[in-house]
Amino acid sequence: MTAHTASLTAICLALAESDAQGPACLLPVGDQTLLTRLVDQFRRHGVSRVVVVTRPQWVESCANAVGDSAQVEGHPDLSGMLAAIADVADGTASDLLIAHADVLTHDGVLAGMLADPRVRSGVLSTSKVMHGLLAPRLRISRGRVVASESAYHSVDSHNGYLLGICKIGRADVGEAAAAARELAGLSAAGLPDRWGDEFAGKVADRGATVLADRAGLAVLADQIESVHPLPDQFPDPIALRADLAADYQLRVALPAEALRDDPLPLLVVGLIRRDVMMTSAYLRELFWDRPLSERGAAEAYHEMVGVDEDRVLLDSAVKATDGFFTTFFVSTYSRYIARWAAHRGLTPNQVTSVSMLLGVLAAFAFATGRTAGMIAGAILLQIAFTADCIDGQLARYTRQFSKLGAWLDSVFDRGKEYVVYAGLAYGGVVTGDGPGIWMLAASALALQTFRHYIDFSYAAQQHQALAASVRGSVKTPDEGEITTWETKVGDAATSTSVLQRIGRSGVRTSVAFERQPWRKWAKRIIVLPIGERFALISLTAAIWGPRSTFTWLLVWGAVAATYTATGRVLRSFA
Amino acid sequence: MTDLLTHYRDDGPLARLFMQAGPLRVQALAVTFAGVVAVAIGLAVDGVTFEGAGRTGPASLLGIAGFVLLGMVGAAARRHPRIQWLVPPLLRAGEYVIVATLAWRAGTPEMWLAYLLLAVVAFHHYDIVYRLRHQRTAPSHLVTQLCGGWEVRVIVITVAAVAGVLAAVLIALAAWCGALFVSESMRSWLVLALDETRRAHVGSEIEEEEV
Repeated sequence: MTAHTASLTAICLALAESDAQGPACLLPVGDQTLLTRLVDQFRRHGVSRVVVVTRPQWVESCANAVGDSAQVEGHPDLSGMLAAIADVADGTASDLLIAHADVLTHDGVLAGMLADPRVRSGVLSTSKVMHGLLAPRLRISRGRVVASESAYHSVDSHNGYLLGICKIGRADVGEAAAAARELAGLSAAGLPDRWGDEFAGKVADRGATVLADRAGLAVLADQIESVHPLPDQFPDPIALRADLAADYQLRVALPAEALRDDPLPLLVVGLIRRDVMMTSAYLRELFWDRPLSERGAAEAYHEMVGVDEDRVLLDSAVKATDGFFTTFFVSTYSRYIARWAAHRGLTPNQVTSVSMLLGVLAAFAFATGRTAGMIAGAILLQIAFTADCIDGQLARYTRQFSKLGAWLDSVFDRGKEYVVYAGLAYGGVVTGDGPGIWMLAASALALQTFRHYIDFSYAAQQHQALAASVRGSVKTPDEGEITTWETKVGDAATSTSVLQRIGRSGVRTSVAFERQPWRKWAKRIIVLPIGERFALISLTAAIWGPRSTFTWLLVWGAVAATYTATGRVLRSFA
Repeated sequence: MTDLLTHYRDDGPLARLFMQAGPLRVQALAVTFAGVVAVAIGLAVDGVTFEGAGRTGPASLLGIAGFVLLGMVGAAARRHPRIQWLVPPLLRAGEYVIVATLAWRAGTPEMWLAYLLLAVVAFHHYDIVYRLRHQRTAPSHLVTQLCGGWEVRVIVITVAAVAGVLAAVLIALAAWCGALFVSESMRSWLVLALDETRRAHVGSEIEEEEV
């Protein structure tokens, strides 16, 4: 059902050991193993070649499990595995997927990551709090991964976690091979300075947390028991002490060993520091796990099967950053129309085209200048806007992303709006407004384009500043001077500390202001996003006519432009 | 990829001459902002001096000249490290306000013709951004130059207004730029669309092999 982008190559890393001393990827899930399940999932999503990279002693068992569906290679150490990745990357002309063989997740997660054109190269991630060493930390800024943790690298302040799957677009495969070779060289020659300390520190931290959890509970139980009988729901202190070792094994020792020679996070660090644009594909509300025991795998599988994937997909088809009107007055029902359209087999581009057509009809209705025409135009414009929301939701729900579709959507959005301005101005002239109304229309168009250009240019500068800030050597465990990228923008040659202080206090005020949800929505309404704008046009045109529409657009638009520009100037200096 | 903000400027041949002369030891944002202030004052002075919408008198011409010159100097100037992003929106504001105001002063057909030209120019300005976003390339350099860039368009419109042939020039410019901008943009998207269909087709063939 989903359109594939040519054939893909995938590398599965079978490194983690289960508590039964075999590869974790051979733990049973349903009637398969984690590894065969993942290989099947890859096959279903257009992967034509799968290479399993594992430890030498597991080659046979892995090969038995996958049969002819994948080739299996054994490598004794980190540098060998990195070199193997580099070799595969060198021989690949298509996109390359690298994943842990023991990842348990939905088909939809892989499909989303493979279909999303915004993720040319990127990682699967989540912003929900994950504990443990199997999900390294990330810092993501504007959808771009700007720092990543590995066994030997740290992240200053994280806001996400790497979920064991990485996609490298064909344009970046060469760079990935180079990064893997550099890292292989570094690890073959004995680890660089401070790498060992970084890893030991990480394991000690995690160990302390897990032990403190358990031992703390046991001590607490003793203390409670010395006063009065333990409540029923409290864990038994004897059991807490008895399986402390098993728990440590499962939550610290095994993950630490898996992380120690895990090439995936290292490669991600290497790519980021080489300034490869790594974006983030979010897990959202779907299920993900890397179980290390048979019981853990069974529980995880049970939980995953219980997730209503369609529901999650439909909900996440609605953009989280939409405005107030769109979120509460359109997306609440448009997502169901999107699902209906998907079942009818409609494509997003068809819906986009219908939306544009409705917009042109609305313009004609406005151009009549009559009351009935104004009301008809207002209604048509609202239907056009609903269709406009549906096309994006349909694309995300059915994962029919295309560059052409994204462009068509943007261009038709602008086209609809400016055609409607023309229709309103013509209607105004017809009803005796005088030709001056064309000047109001021209001003509204100029102001709106100006406001969009503030958005575009600001985003462009942020994007470039970000790219400049991530570059660095893979040898240093910490991010070094790269703390927050905002402080790196330019060399502060012209900024005085006064400007910086004003900027920072402005940003602080703005962040504090957003703590209450209604204020966040108020801010989104002030900037007059497309949903509010179209609602304003419909309402004012139907009630008072074109002149009032343009006046409202100009006044509100001017306030919005001032607000946005001021906020962003402050942010630029902060 | 070359600097996004440089593409967003939409410089024509004259501004490019300045760019090659650079870098000058002035701030791009400061001079561009000064240019916008100059044109605002110029247009406003003529608006107050003469009745109604005003007339394109010496104040307007001075203001417009100031905007064009300072904007072009901005192409050659040093970047302000933090708020450089204000330059492209200011160039848009200057060009659009000049076209609208001169048309307003000229009369009836000019007013809606100005809307037409602005819509055409806005198409190009959005196209620059969307194409860099989705295709990672800017619109054809040749087409951008043939349509003058912001500075040549402003000069042509101003000369036409002074010569009293604004309506004809608005039609000609809108037709010329519209044809070039839209056809070149369509061509690039058709190429991409064909490529996307071809790739999807290859994908489905592989799927059939698997079954």
